[in-house]
This record gives sequence, structure tokens and C-alpha cells, in this order.
Amino acid sequence: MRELFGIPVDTLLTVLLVALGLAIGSVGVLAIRHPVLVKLGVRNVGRRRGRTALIVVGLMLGTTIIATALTTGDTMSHTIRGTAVAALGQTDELVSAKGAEADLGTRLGSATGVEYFDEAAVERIESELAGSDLVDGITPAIVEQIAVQAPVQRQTEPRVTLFAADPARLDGFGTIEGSGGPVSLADLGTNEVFLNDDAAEELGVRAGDRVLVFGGGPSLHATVRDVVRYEGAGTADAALFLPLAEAQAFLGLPGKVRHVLISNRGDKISGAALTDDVVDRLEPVLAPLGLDVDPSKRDALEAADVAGSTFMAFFTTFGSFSIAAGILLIFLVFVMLAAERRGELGIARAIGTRRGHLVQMFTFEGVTYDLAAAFVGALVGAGVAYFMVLVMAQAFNAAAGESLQIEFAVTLRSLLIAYALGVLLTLAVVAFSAWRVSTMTISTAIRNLPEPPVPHRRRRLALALAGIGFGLLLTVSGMAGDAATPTMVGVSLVVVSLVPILCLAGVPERAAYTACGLTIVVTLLLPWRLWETVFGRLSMDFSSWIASGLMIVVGAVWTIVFNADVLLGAAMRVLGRIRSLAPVLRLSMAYPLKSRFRTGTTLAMFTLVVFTLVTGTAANGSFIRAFENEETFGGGFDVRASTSGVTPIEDIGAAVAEAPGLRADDIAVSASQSFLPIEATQSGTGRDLEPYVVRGLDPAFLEHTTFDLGKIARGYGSPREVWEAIGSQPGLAVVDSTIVPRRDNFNFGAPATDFRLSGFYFDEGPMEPIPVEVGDRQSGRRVKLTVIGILSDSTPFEMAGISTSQETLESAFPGRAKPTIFYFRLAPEVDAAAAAAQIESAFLAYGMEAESIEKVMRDATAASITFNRLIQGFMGLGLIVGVAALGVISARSVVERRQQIGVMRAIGFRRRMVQASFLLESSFLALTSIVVGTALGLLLAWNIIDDQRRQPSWENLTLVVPWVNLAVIFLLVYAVALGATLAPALRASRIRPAEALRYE
Amino acid sequence: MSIPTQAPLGAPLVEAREVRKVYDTGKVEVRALNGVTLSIEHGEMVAIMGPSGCGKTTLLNCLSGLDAIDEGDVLIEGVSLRSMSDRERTDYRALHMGFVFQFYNLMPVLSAVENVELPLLVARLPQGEARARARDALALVGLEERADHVPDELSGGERQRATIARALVNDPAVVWADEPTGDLDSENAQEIVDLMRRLNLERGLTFLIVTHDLSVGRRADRIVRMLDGEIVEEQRLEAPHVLAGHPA
Repeated sequence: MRELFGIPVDTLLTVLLVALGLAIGSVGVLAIRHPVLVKLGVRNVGRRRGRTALIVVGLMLGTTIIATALTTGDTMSHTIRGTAVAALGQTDELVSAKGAEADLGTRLGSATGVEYFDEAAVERIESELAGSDLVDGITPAIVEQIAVQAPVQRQTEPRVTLFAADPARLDGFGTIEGSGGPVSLADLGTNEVFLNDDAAEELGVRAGDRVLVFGGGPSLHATVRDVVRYEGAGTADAALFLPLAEAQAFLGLPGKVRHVLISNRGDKISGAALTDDVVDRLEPVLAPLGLDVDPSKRDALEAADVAGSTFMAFFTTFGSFSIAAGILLIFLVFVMLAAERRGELGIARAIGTRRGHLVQMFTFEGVTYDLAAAFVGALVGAGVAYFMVLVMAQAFNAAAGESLQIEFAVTLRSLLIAYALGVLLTLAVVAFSAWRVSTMTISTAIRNLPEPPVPHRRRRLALALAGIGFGLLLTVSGMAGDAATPTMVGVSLVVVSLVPILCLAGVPERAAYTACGLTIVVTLLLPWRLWETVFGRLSMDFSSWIASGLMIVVGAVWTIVFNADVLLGAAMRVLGRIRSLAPVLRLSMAYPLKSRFRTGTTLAMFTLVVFTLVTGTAANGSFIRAFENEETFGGGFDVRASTSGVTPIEDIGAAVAEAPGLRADDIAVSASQSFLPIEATQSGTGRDLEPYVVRGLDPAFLEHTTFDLGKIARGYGSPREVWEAIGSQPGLAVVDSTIVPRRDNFNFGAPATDFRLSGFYFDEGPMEPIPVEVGDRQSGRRVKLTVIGILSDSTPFEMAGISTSQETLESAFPGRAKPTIFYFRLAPEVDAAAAAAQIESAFLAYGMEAESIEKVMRDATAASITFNRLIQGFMGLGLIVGVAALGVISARSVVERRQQIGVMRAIGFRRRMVQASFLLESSFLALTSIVVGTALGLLLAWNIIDDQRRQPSWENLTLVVPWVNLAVIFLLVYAVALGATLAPALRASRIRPAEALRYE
Repeated sequence: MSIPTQAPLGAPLVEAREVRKVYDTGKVEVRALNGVTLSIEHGEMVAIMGPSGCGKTTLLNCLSGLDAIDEGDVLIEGVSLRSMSDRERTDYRALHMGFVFQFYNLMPVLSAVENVELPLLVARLPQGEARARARDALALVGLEERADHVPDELSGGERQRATIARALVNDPAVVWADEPTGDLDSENAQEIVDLMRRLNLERGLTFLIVTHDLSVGRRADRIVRMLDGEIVEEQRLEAPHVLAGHPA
């Protein structure tokens, strides 16, 4: 991982550790000065072990959520690093012909016309690096996609990596492990090959079996000499190994290679540290030869770290509500702890203890809990992440197959960050709670009477005016910067600050809080187009969601807490008719109403998490469902196929007509794309050329595609018109939407390229045709294209790049871009899966891999759905916070109400009635939160969908509510919430009345 | 088991036979009641007096079924409390007993009328009827105007009146009062004792009052004096029914 909250991780760790050191140091200094206060504070920790355990659990949840998010980032970073290492083995740099490499991660399509170069280049490289001690291996190599068939087993693998290198130069590239120990490519005789485990498994072959190898020219009949394990360049999946000379003969390219592989000194990872030195030395030498040195390993490791950061950002964003709820819980725990000690604290003050001393005493106690809780929280977070990784592994394996094996990983750095953040956040809350607790009227505290209201009129007024001022400032700055988040927070802050002013003006508390609470809820849930009518166009991102969510929940909780008597009165009138329930209901509703702060805080915690869960689940689910449209996803085609770069098919229509085993009538349209790594820049911007890809679409594709466009340049009326224009006028193109600027940004991570368009917004205003310049590094040729449309967001990633006509591409870069991607529209009633299998079989010699669009879409959405569930699960962690809050409150209530429980029992409450009273009280809190959180969450989700519907690409988006999922989650949570209350409720019911009544 | 609501003819309302109660704190064994035998007749007002720690409150708790006894027996309307399950004792308290405590012990989250109607709701009366009877009980103790106030908004005397209203709302056979004036000033204490005496005389309510206060004890029909868990003296008072301002 590289960044957290936009700050480099190492910097963040340093800052946090320094802050932690300062904080703990300050507490330590105070402890040395007042050891008595330390003794008093710390002794409280051991007084009641059960309660101490409860506090530690309450305090650790925030840290747990942070640690879970960070560990998930570590895991993804480690996994992708592992994938990079498995793919490249000991190879750190690849020398190739200029412009040969482009990796957008689409796994579809290969460049053609990639220049092979003379293997003598290896000597030039060797002499340049000789004596540098930078590298421990250099070998010429061919790494190419081929197809392999096992005739006896009747199995075919259309996509196998051919790895061929000079056996004499492979020492620095690790060992090839055969079934009986290390083997060498030199051991292979004529027409013998090694297969790796994956390839052998796919083909169902063993050593001694025969295979048929297809590489675009004459096929090779070979015998499997052994099944081996080897991590070389490109051999992570199915691979076949040959000596270089044999491969050159097979491909008809004697003396030519595709790459020179370089292994730096050191192991598979540490070698990348020398990449800069190697590249610096080689670049001047290779450029005149038309060769590039690609720092593949370093780039892959960096990409892995970026991916880890992206995942971590995703989880911290979705976890932020739970973290906020966790902070509220810490506050609640300490306020209740103080309430329990109020009498003692009052006596301490009476005998001369200063307020500052009380703050210190409480802080010492809090720090003891804090240090333990953050430690446990960080470890538990890593454990939770482990279980999430298990689920994630299933999701990704479904989508990416075995190429991405998710492996759990956690770094000390992440645990330290989570620990430090947890300790510091808790310490801040503890210090604030301690200060709040120390403000007491001694006489009432000693007698444990309620604190008399303290007017503080001036202070309240000053705070309110400051709040209004700051709120207005935020609103104005938000409007000036077209940013939604500060505008929303500003407006909400103004409304919140009006409450004390209204109360000071004599407006009843209930009216003031209700009016302002409802104003916040209604305002922030207004359709955003109404906001834009008032405030102009505002850019939104995830922070807008978090800010508005927090404020909506605050408003809703105020409204509920100050009006719950009305709701509960109605409930009492209805349910109270059940005579056995009436006395229990009366009490279980009265207690939460009496403790507004406690009830409000608990409701806020629970509601916040439910709200997030519902919004996130419903909105994500709706987007996923929107992808489940075969027409949109497939662009009007039913089967998608691809071949390797060495086996393009120039005229797919003719090839289909002649292919054995294919019925021409089954395939209504055969279309193709070529694929070429290029460099591109927007003309007139002065920006450098950046790596990207261009696709050449053949006339059949352009004529029949229904891929939608999210934005169309002025002068064109419809997507069809754009596709036809590209087909009829050379030089026109469309691009994918990831490289286009937007007002709203709900994306995580960055596009795979630095190539960007500018001068307009995807989601706002018109678009003029945009000139771009595209260059082929291998041939050095350039072409100017005009972008007249942006592909819709719902287009699959396999269409990423600049798409122009094949004719344009062929004339600009002759021989460089031959079709390797194919789309087929089938005749009605033809089964797509069966047709894909037939196509794959018919074009086996080309190494064609074909899939029905339906399957591709199903795999993609299945992975998204699993991932969405994972996010649900992660957000659901926050529900533990709510459950813990209920447990804390119930446990405290039993102590507080001991005498009242005695009275209840004395006047005839049975034990079960006492239990029921506690359980109903928790039910009131949990069910209110679930109902209110769900309602608010759905409203916000509807708002998000409504807003997106106005954006390009999502006109047909509809709100999909996963009721069953939510019902299961909430029932489970409700049951657990009752479970958390059950122990205190049982304890309460076991209180003996005579004993309880003895308490004063 | 069905709980009798009518005592056998001629039987005392409450009868304690050789009741013993020991509190075992683990380190120390305290003999709180040491063979107490006592009878309380219907309509009688009995005061239990004695120094702190002599076992007054323990005796009240054991007689009312709030606490279990170790030996002996307690008969209420002829039925042994020991033979009742916890649930039966609870139901019996709900239907036939009222309690008044020193610190009022009203539910702080309920208004006066809600507090008073609570035993009726426990006894499963319909809400409307319970509310009407609760208001009547509050009227009886002179608190009808303060019916909708929560305890925090009532004075000490008012709270104790509300407690008495709660004790008598279910028309109990006996009201147990533990230091009912202990937290009140003398004027309020006098009013509360007057109220209890009036209810005793006018409605025939049986009272057992635990008190330190001799002026309260002197208003009872009988004073039972305790020392070290035993009854050491019983004193029947002449003309105890004279109300405040009319010395006996």
C-alpha cells in the first residue's frame, strides 16, 4: 500500500507514532507527578472484571474496523505482488521491440506485427552490463501465446504460453523443477516439450503423452517429456517450454527473439531495487537498435501497491460510518462509567480534589483500557480481515480463475497504524469525556441526584453564532468551488446551530430540535437536482455521501428522541391492549424516553450503521443489476473470442464460412477488432504522449454494434450515427469513459493509463469533437484521430481504448494491427454456449478462445455480487458497535435500576416480566434504528439512483432493494442485539427484591 | 396451586411461627431473625420498632415474601408462604399486598398516576379501568392534582402519598411499610401517619409498619419491639386511633 487518506503510508505511520509518543508521554509525565491519581484510576480497572471486559470490547471496535480495512489492503497488495512475481519469476526487466507491450488488464486481444529482433542483441546488452554486478542472468527468449491439443485425451487448451529461452543462459532465472528433480531445457530432445502443472491439468496429460502445438504456422507433434514447475516470464498459467532454437524453428523465425529477459541480482522482489540502474545503462544502447527496456517487475510491484491502496480506500470509506459509530460508543461507555462513579467523584471533589485531578484520574483509567483495547482491536481486525479474504478469494477466483490466488497478508506497519489511530482516537474521546464528567455540582453528585440545568446562556449563544458563521463560510466556499460536501456540511451546520438560538429565544426544546432535525433530514434527502437549482452544479464524491449520511442521521435521531413519546404512546395504545404486555411495555418505553442522551447516542450509532448498510447495498446492487443486460454488455453480439498475436485472422467472415464444423447459418454476423499498443495525447494540450491502446473495428462490427455511448460530440445525433460515421469517414474514433474528466467522482483508484482527455465533463455540458494524436513506437508513425463519442460506463472493460475503424488503423500503421478479437451475432434460437465451443474448436489452430457473452456477463456480475456482499459484511461490522452499545446500556441499567427492580418484583412483576422489560427496551432501540435507518438509507439510495439516471450511461438505472439480504442481516442483528441484552436481563430478573430494596 | 384470598375463619391475617433467617456473607454469619413468632389480625395496625440492625426490615421482608426464610413458617391468610413458588408469591403480592418504602421507590420514569396503576396492570386489569382506579387512589391520598407529574417534580411528602396510593390501589389485604416517614420532615411525617391511620380506620386496611419513630409507633394498635433478631416486647396501645392534633 502506498497511501492512506491521501497521505503516504510511511509518512502517516511516522506522524502517528510521534503523536502517540507525545500523547502517551504527556500522560506519563502527569502520572509521575500524581501517582495517587494513577493508583485511583488504574485500581478501578480491576474492580469489576466483567465490566472491564465490556469496556475493552466497546473501545476496540473502532480499531478493529480500521485494522480490517488496512489488512484487506495488505492482502490485495500482497496478492497482486504475488501474481506479479509468479508471472515474471526472476525476470526484472524485459527488452522488447519498441511499443510491443501494453497491459490494460483486459485479458482480451493481442497486438500483432510485434517485431522480433536479432538474438545478437543479447550480446550487446551483456557487454553493456558486464562488470556492473547489477544482474545475474540475461537470456534471449520467446514468450508467445499458442494453442495446444491433446488428441488422445480429446482436450484442447487454446491459450498456452510458449516459454523458450537459451538453456545455457537460464542460471539466473531459477530452477525448472521436474518430477524427478531439477531439469533443463537442454534435456529436451527433438519434438519434446515440458508442460507446467496448469497446462498438464487442463489437457489431462502426463509425461510421455502426445500433444499437438499450434503457433500460426505448421503444427508441431510433440511428446511431453515431463510436467514441471517454473516461474518464468508469463508462465503463471498454462505454459509449454521449449529450447529457444526449437521455438524459433517452430515459429519460422530462426535467429529471432521477442525478448531479452534480465534478472537483477537479488531475489524475486529485492532485485527490482536495481531496475533504475539497469534501465539507465541500457536505454542509450537499446534505443538505436529500436528496442525498449521495460521495468516490468518494478511496475508490477508498484501497481500491486496501488491496487492495495485502492482496496484499502474502498474499505476505509465504507467503514467510516462504523468508525464514527465506534467513536460514539467510546463516548457512551465513558459517560456511563462516569455516571456510575458520580457519587465517588462528588465525594472526591468535596474533600478537595480539583477538577483537573478528576480529569487526570479518569484519563489514566481510560488510557489503561485504551492501550489494551487498541491492541486487541488491531489483532481482531486482522482476524476479521482473514475471514473476509476467504470470501474475497471465492469472488475473485470466480471472476479471474486461477490467475489471481488471493492470499492473506498483514504487515506490522498496518497493525501499527491501526493501533496508533485507535489509541489516539480513543484517548481524544476519553479526555473529552473526562472533562465533561468533571463538570458537576458536588452536592447533587454526592447524593446522586440529577445535575441541575446550568444556563451558560452566553456560552451557548457564542457557540451557536460561531457555528452559524462557520456553516455559512463552508457553504459559500463549497459553492465557489462547486463542491457538494462543504456545501452540505455548511447548510447542516447552520441549521444545527439554530437549535440553541431557538431555545434561548424561548421556543420549547421539543419544537426547536424537531424543526431543525426535520429540516436537516428533508434538506439532505431532497433530490439533488433541487440542490443544484439553488446552489448550482456541485461535484459529488464519496465524502458527500459520508457527510450527508452523518447529518441525516443526527437530524433523524433528534426528531425521534424528542418525539418518541408520541410514537410510543400510539404503540402503547395498540399493544397495551394485550394485558400481559401492558405493565412491561409501560416501563420499557418509559426508560429510553427518560434518558435522551443515552437513547439518542445509541440510536445514532445503530441507525448510522443500518443507514450505511442499506444505502451501500441498495445503490451498489442497483448498479450491478444495471450491468446484467446482455444487449448492453455484449454490444449486440452473442459470442466473444480472441486469438494470440501470432495467429490473427484477417477476414473472419471468410474464415467462418470455410471453417470445418461450423454451420454458416448459425452465425449471422462475424465481426473483428484489432488491438495495438500505442502512445496518445490530446492535440493542442502540449501534454506528453502516454501509453494506451487503439482498436481497429471492422465494417461488420461498426455496422452491427449496439454498444452505447455516454457522450456524443456536437454534430452527431445518436450512437448509431457515430458508429456509421467512424465506418464511413477515416480518422474518427470513440474512447472509453475512464480517461474522461467528471464532475462527480465515485470511483476508487486511477485508470490504467496517464492518457487523459480534457476540456469538458463526461457528466455535464456539450462535447466538441476532440483531436488526438496517436503514435506507434515500433514504426515511429503517427496519425491524428478525432474523438466524436465516449463509450457508456456500462460498456465492458474489454472495449477500453481508442476505437477507430480498421481501415484507419491499417492505413496509419500498415501490418501492425491485424484482427485478434472477434464478435459473433448468432442466428435466433442458436445456443450461445454451444456455438462458442464450436467456434473455439473450429479455430483451434489459431489458439482461439471463445465464450458466450451471457457467461462473461454472468461471471462478471457474480464476482461483483460477491464483492458487494463482502462490503455489506464489512459495513455490517458496525452493527457489532450497535449491539455492544445495547449490551453496555443494559448492563449499566441493571446496576442503576437495582432498587426499582426490587420494587417491580415487590409489586408483582414476575421474573420473566423483568426480563421482558429489558428485552423490549433493547428491541425499541434496535427496531427503531433498523426501521429508521432502512427508510433513510432507501431514500438516499433512491436519490443516488435518481441523480445517476440523469448522468450519461445510466438512463435506465432503477433502484433494486435486496430485501431478502437486508431482512436476513437485520433479523440476525436483532437476534444478536437481544442476545447482548439477555445476560443483563437475566441478571436483573434474578435480583432478590429484599436485597435490592436495601440499596439507597 | 390456587392462592386463597380468604383466611380460614378466626385465623390471623399474618402469622409467623419460629421464623429464623441467617445472612451468610461468607466471612460472617448474621442471625437476622432468631425464632420470631408473631400474629397480625385483620384491620390491625402494627408497628415494629427497635434499634438499627435488630431485624425489623428483615422481618417485614420475610413476612411479605420478599425474602425467603431459613426455618419456621409464615402463613398469610392461613397459607404457608414457604409452600408457594416464587411465581405464586409474586402473584400473591400483586393481588393482595401493598408496599410503602422509606425512599418512596417510585419509578422515576413514570408519572404519579402511571406509578399507581402499575400494580393493576400487573394484575392484568384493562388499561382504562386501571387508570380510573389509580386516579381514585390518588384522590384518596389528596394527590389528584399532581397525577401527571413525575416523581422528580413531587415533594417528599407527595411522593410518599403516591407510594401509599400505589400500595392501596389493588385493595390489598395488608400494606407493608418500611420506615415510611424516615425521609420526611416532621410535618410531612405526621401527614403520612395520619393518612395511613385514616385508611386503616375507614377502609379496614391492615398495616405493618417498621419504624424508628416512636411518634409513628404510638399511632399503631400495637408496638412490637425487637432486639437482636428477637421480639422482646409487645405493647397494645389504648386509643391509638386519635388523629394528629388530638393527643391520645
